[in-house]
Amino acid sequence: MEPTVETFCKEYGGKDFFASHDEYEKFRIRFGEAIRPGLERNREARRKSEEAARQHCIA
Amino acid sequence: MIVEESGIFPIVVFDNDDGWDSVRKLCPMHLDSRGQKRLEDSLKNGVKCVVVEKHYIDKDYRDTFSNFHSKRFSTPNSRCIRLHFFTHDVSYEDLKIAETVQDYYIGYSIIRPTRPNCIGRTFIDVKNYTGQNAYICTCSEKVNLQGTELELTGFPFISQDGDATVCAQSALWMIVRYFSNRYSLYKETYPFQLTQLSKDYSIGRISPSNGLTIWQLGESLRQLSFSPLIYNRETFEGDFDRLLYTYIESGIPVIAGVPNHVIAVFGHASDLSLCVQTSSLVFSSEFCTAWMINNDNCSPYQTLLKDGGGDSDFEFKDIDSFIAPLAEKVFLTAENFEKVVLEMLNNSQTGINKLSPTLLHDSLVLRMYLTTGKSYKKKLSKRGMGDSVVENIYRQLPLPHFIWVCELSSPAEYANGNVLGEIIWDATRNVWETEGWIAIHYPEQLLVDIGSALNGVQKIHSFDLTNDAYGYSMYCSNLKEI
Repeated sequence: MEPTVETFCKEYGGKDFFASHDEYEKFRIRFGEAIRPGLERNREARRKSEEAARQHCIA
Repeated sequence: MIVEESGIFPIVVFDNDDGWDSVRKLCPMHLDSRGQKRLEDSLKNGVKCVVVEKHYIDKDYRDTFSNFHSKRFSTPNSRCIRLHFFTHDVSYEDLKIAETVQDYYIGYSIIRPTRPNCIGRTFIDVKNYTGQNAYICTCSEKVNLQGTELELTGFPFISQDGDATVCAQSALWMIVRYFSNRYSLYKETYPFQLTQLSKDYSIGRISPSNGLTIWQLGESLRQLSFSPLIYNRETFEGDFDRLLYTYIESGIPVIAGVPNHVIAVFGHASDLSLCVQTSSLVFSSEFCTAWMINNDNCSPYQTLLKDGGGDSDFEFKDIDSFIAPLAEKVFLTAENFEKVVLEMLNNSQTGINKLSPTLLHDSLVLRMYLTTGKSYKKKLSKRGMGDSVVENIYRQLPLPHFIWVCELSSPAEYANGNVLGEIIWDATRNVWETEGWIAIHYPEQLLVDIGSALNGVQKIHSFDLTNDAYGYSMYCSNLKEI
């Protein structure tokens, strides 16, 4: 028999963290929105770093 | 005293009459006074005996000799001398039994007949540098000395010959030799082969070498099966030193650019007394006071201090860029892991405010690193993980090959080498996927994504812990303490 989330949790006494699937989806969307600006800034910094690397000559 | 001075393997036992000068006199066409000084600086902590192995055929020098030096009218010798360093005098009889000399053996240096730099492949054991309170990336090598196999642990070093190779190839060599020594996935690559890696990304000839750009070094690494990431101080601003620290803490040595030069950074040292002065949230990188570096123009294992004044002429701010040679499957970068993990800690549902009164009442120290799921599991039992439920769940949980870990600690616990929890993130995930978190472990509660672990949709389960906020030991596997 294949292991399932239910069998795994039963063994260790776990419970669903999110009350419902809707609550989980709301969390996921809000989390995605919250991280987006920081990730965009990182993407821009990476692009500029790679651009600068073409000019950086070392002996 | 010199034993068998005119033999193939003379032994120089240091005493009032003989020392480093005697070693140089035995290698007149190879070791020059500059090279002697560099060896003395590297080994000042107590070499008592040097075994001189003449007519040594070195794989790295032979590679540049065959492809470059042999084409000169004035041709250097094709053979090298290998010097073996011991902290105790040894005899030919001693050398027959590995156990007799292993404890005294601290490394070797290949002496090339090249000028201006004669120091070739050099491998000095970490035991020569103990007591520095530093943590470094290490690999191991087996050395065959007259048929006796000895073992060394350390970080490889080589100096440029100034002709076929310059600092760029030397730093690249040190990094890739570390990886090929440590992981069978990476093949051993020789200096001239490294010079050829940039041939499709160069304007004009590639040897004699005039140096490389950071971009060419990145491309060279890519051709050697790495997934290199390039960081520039100007564009990453205040995050730059922290990101460099995170990669070193992950056991990933980096190639670092300084003005007109490049070095290998492979370790760090920290001042944990700074732990008491923390604000509400601090990264462990804040306590870092030095990088351990190999500068091919100097001695191995130099200390580069934050504000200068160490063995090195450089200070932290002189490092203007670095390349982290990541493994192919590390898709999530350090800077992106940092962003997602900080959001997780501040989140109204999964953050500390909601779930962990224990962590809330003190300053928080964050230590981030990359490791493999396999290595992480290997240390679970020894560490205890604060609660047997956590240990048992982590043991059972299928983990990705690479994971990012952010350890959570208080200043007092961190200073004692302890943590109070961690966040584990799948390093093989795309950063835009919000389902990358594998586990959040606070002293009071463990959240685990069991769905993804079973290759399904994310399914977060929580487990109450009976932990009473005592720390457990931090994960130590990526680096070795010296």
